[in-house]
Amino acid sequence: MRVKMNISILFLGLVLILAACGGGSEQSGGEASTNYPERKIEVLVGHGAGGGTDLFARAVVKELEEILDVNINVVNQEGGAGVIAAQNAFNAPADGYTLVGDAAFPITTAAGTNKHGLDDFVPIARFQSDTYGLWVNPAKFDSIDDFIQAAKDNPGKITVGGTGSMGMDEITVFQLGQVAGVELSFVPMEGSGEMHSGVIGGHLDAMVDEFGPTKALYEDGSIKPLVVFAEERLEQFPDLPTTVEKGWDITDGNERGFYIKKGTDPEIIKILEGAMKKAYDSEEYQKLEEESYLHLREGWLNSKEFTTRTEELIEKYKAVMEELQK
Amino acid sequence: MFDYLITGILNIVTDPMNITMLLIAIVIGYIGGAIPGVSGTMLVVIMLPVTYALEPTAAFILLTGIYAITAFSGAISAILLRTPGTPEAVVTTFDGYPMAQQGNPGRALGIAIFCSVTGGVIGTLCLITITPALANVALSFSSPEYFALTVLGLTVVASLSGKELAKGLIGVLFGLMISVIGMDPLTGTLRYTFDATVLTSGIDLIPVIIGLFALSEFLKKTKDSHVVQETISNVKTKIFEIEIFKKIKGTMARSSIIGVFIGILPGVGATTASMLSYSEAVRWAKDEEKASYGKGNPKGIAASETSNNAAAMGTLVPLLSLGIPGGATAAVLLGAFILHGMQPGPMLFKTEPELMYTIFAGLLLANIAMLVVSKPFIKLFQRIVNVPYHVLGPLVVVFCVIGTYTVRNNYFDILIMILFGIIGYILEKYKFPLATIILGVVLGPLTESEFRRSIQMANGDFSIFFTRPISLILIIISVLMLFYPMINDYIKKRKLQKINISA
Repeated sequence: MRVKMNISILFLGLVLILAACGGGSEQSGGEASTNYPERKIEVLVGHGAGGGTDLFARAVVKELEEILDVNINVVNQEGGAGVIAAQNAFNAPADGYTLVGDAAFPITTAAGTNKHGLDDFVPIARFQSDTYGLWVNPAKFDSIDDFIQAAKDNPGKITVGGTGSMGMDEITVFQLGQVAGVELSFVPMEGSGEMHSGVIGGHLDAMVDEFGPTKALYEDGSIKPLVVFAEERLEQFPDLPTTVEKGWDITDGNERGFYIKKGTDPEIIKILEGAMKKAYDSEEYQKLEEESYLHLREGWLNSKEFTTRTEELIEKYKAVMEELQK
Repeated sequence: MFDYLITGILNIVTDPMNITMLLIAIVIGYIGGAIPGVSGTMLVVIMLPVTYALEPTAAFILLTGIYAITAFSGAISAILLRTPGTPEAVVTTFDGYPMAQQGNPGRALGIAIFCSVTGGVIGTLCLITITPALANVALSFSSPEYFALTVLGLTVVASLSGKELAKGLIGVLFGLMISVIGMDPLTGTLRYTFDATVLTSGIDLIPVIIGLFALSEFLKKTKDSHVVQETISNVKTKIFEIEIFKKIKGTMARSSIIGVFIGILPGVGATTASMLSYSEAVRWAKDEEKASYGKGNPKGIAASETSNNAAAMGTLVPLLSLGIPGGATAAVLLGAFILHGMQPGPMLFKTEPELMYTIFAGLLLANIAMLVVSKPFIKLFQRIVNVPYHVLGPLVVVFCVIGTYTVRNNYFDILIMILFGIIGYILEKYKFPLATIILGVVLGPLTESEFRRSIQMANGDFSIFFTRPISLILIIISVLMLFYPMINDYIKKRKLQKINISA
């Protein structure tokens, strides 16, 4: 009996070793970049299948596969708002075959949960700069002024839902409260489903969300936007005021793009950047953007612009986080 | 409405493409679901790109068909190998595996199939007929109600742990403790992560259940003698046995209702539904019957399988009627609608009624087809039990490792799975009720975050749980349930006294 127990432990040990080997394979550093890409590329997405960032990565990958003529796999590594995926990409060799698709890179870096910031990663390209709106049940509030007045009359009592905690949603609500001089109570929801039904069912006073996921709900009149977090009014919503015209300088949204480990051959990054530009301009991708209301703002930034932008955002969010955690 | 439904059925039956898709969905659903770690959500995500090229009707028959089948197929390996193929099948292992071990794998699978189909069909019928009304129920639920619901679920620990109440309480607390590891859902603070990045996202449910049930069983079996096992398989596979049905019909009816109801609530899925439904089955059982749960009681299988299939269909209610995805797979289906240029919601019933009812018809047919094609599948699968364990055991471990890895593509999860395998092995040796740990792990995250979310919604006012009617009623029921054994005892004593007096 003893022996058999030992055998099973040995077996488990073997499995462990095998698992460990899998992690360290495919180690070949100095490949000639001219032939890039020679084999399949992996795109690590730190968010669950079916979410906004996952759908974005899959849509881009579909175009990239044709342009680069190579297989590209999207690998979902859910957890910590993208931190796990970044960690795993950092552990992989800088050979250009492991990319990261992320939406929260500047925030997780600023918050310190992502330990690999711009010292370890190079932004390749930004595809989307999503736009937030403040949404309410039409029966509750008429206009943004109404909403702010209510928040002034009931300090800390007006609840605003968002998904996740210490993410872009919370930062946006916090900043809105700051610039408008009101105290809002942010309620982090598990997912957008629970959040949407919370607003429609009257359990939440308002929520922040993007225009794509809310499309069906405002088309049938269950919710309506009070303000859009943007510089200029949207073509599709000519009557919807912007934060900027209210005198509030908060226009940021989720910025989705791709990152690669630092130390990757600059030639490879060039090739990827070029291919991504083509994917961005492709008819199919543009059609998708329009269908999911992602075209409200120009999304494209090349590697250099996106790097500068990411630097700015990290600095900015660091300051906001400090305020927020007070 | 029924005109549309009939058109929908005709659409599928007369179009070879649609029929093919339905058949492909069944095969993929059966095989994929039987492999641990490959969940319905994952299969739908994998098949999503394939549907780009298809007509919307065919695409949705394929995707929703897979979804409907995997709600059952996870039970196959759960019953035969104690390895839940999908997370929602974990509760099926409680009674399904003991029954199979007692020499009735065919019967256990038969009950699972029959109950799954019933749950699925009832769920689909609810979906077709009362979707708008149900959607409003979903809207009346918010954090305080969710919390009250989980409290009701947790009170069952007393009946789940049988005579070992102390062990049961330890188990449920251990489960709850596991569920708080990782990022705090409300403030983002890291808890019990010891600065390890891998722990920031917490411990996933799947490695825990695969470890506790499948791997621990492997460890236990390796200790058993390796003399060639006698064939334990009951060759006769009867999907419908009248005496069994008579026993379980009440459980099935109750579990269908619980399943549909839990399913339509956004944010609570089939796993929670089967856990709660099992809890209720144990709670409503007669005292002398309670001990047989966890030892191969057909009602245990019925409770789990009826409700998880009903819940899977219920999840589609808020998606189709409000455009709100009620669970992970529904979120992927929402993405699929968008990719095909449609937005789910009330408008879709007006703009695309034929497509909607074809989808409904597809779900109905997929559920019924499950019954028709199940016999050869069961015959095939129940032979697995007769494979010598020195061949089968290592294979199961390999599948456990692969399955655990595929969930999040994370090596760390494999380590967690192995750790829980060892924990499970030790705990079972001391007759520890593993079901209570699962109760804690499944309900823990929901209990904690919904409690704190409610408080945040109410600005720190604890009375929110008592001022809202639904939550108040649920809490009162929980309290009554908690003290029910004492009240019951009291009443019995009184009766006894009366008898004594009159005698």
